[in-house]
Amino acid sequence: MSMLRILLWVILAYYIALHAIYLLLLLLGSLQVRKYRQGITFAEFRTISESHLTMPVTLIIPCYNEASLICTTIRNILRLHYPQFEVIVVSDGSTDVTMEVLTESFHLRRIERFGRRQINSRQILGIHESDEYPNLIVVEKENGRRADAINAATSLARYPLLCVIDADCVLEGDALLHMARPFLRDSHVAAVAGVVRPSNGIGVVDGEIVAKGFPRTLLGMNQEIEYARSFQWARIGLSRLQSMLCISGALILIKKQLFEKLGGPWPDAITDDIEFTMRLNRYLHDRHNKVKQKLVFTPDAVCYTEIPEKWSQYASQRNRWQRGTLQALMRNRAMIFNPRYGITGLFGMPFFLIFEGLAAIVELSAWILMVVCLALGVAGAFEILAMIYLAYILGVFLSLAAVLITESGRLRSASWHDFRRLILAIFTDNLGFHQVHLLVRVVGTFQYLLGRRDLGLAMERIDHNPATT
Amino acid sequence: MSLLTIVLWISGALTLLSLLLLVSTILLRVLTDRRITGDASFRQIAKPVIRSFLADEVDIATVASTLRKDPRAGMQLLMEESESLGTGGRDKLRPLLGALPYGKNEIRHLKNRHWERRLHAAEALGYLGDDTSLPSLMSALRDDLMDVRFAAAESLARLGCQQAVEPILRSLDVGGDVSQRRVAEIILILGASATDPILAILQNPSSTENSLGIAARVAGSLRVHRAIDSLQKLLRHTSQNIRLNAVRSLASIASTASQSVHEVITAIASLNEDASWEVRCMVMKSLGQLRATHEIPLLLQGLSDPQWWVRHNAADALYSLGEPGITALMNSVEGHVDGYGRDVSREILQQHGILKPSFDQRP
Repeated sequence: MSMLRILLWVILAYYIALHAIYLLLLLLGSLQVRKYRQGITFAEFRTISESHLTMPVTLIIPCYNEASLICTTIRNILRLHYPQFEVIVVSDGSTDVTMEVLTESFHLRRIERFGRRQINSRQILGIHESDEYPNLIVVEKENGRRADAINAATSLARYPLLCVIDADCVLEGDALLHMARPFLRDSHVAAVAGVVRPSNGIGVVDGEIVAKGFPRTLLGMNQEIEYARSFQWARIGLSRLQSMLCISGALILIKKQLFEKLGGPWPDAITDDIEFTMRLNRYLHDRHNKVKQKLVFTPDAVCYTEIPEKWSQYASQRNRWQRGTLQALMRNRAMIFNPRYGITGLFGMPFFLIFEGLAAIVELSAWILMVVCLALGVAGAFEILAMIYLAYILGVFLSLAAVLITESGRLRSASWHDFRRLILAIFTDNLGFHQVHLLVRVVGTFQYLLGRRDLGLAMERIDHNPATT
Repeated sequence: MSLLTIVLWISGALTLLSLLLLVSTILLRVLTDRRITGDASFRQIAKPVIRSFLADEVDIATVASTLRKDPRAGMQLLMEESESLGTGGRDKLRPLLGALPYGKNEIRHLKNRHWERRLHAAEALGYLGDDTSLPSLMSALRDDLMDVRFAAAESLARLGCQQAVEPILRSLDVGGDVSQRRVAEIILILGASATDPILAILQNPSSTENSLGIAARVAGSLRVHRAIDSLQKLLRHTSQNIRLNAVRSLASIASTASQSVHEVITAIASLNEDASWEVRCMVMKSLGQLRATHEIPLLLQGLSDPQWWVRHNAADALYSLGEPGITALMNSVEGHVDGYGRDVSREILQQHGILKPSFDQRP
């Protein structure tokens, strides 16, 4: 009996430690954001946008069967405010009409290119240039995975900075300018990550964002909160602690030389972005390598990405993320608690393992433990209810803190209506949604252990054009 | 203390804190909404008043009283106007700036202990066009924070302070390509008035490598013909960065000069076997830029360089030479001794629509 009570104490300590660290990350994040905003000068971005000395960028957009939205994404990218950039779209063995749509929309013609192959990839079937847009190249290749498509594009990239974005992404017009800023200020910057937010709810016409809003469903709103809490603010805190081990594949700007040195993302990864970020950290923070470069987070380079608003798709995505996290952790396990990797090895990796990789298992154990304690009379119903309420209010507190930071900047909710829905989502998140997420992650953990390595369901795409919705 | 007591205490405290956060968030939203609305309406009123002042339709007192209603937003507006007017039109704002306390305040802020105040003051002074701020900005070039130094340097350049070139180079001598680019851009704001100080740096044997690199870059951007001799000497410098900037600038200057082009081409071509591929790359590009038709054999040699970019630039340079270069490329497609040379020649010719892709030629 006393053993069960000790376990209850352990679970309580775990919860408090997890949320305390998150709160610390949020606070660090908000301080970083404040410092960042104070350092922005009046003419800074205009200077970057007009300078012929700004480093040119190659944007890589891997896609597979994205005929419904790829043109919107490309038009959005072609409208970016940036002095010099090229766009390489890779159709990774698409079986739908992606190539036909691209050929028709951008007047493509096939050409030959003999770029160097620094990173191996599956066979390239054709390279196409646009008559209309000289800075657009479309690559047709045999199907690999997202990582393989990115690697194929890298051999054709001409510029020193690579920006990888997903095919469903919409970028703010100045996103690239904001991401390039750290490179222009500090030659030790190796890669820059930006803010990723749900695109469900925004309106895009001819590649331009014309309306901002939140997802329509409560499931979407809960993800909005989740993105604000962990993808936006906690990640800034983690970058301060050299522990940003997961840069979303939806938006990253990296030096090409470094990208090639690391061999690009791993094609067999379940979530290639998490695995690549860990490997990048491993290289940068390994004391033996004596590399003085760093990863930076930019809080005002914003990319909108689609989130699933159907339960089946949500479950599939989160299951994949969980398996991908565990795979990346296993592949880079040598970093965990290893002083050779500095604070990344001693804090970042253990944090990622204990509070991300294993969080679902610990939380499920807590629920089972509470039921057992109740059944055996080790704990009373009031005691159990109090613990459940504690878990609930911890989540609410953190989400409110994240929203407070969000509302103080340019990422604030567009209207009072959206704001009210956001607050409602905070209070409902722990009343079922979180528990479903937990179960999905537990299933993902077991499936990973049983050897499942596929990518799950393909996302159903939505139309961002307000005129057609 | 029992488990229940701890849980209840923490839960209670968090509930209170959450309520506090909720109220703060709502208040923040209300205040931000108000600020945005206030800023918008202020701009709506103040902007036309400033424009009217610039058109001599209202007097200084009217504008000053309007801007005093919101000094922070007023300052921002003036900076925007100053920016849109450019160097020539900025003088029109001077009487207005003299009537407002902005300049004096910003000079005082240059010594503030908060870095962000110093940074924004250093930047604002460049837009306010107040010559009395020059000595303070010169002192700000020695600020502990590099960002403040850069902002002060930019303001000095905006104010057309020719004497600041040497102190700027000294205070921002931090090395690295990125910093060099930033400093070069700042000096370029000065325009032609930077010519003499730049020449002095190029001719001074004790100039640092960093200063020489920046001066070489600026001389090319400003197309300073008098710098050709000094730049040619720099082609033999031990620093790769200086040689690179010297080649780039020489090509840029010589492309607009009728004299000494041949001499410059010969000097640039002598670096075709430089140890640095970036320099070789720039040599190829420059030869194309200078229409160096008699250097076709050297460019053909560049088609088999170990570095892809050098090969690409050599092929591109050949194409830019027109008929003789294109003929040389056509011959290379079949006859070049090196496979890479044949590939890159074909690629460039296809890119310009001269050669059809090989898959189009198949039956």
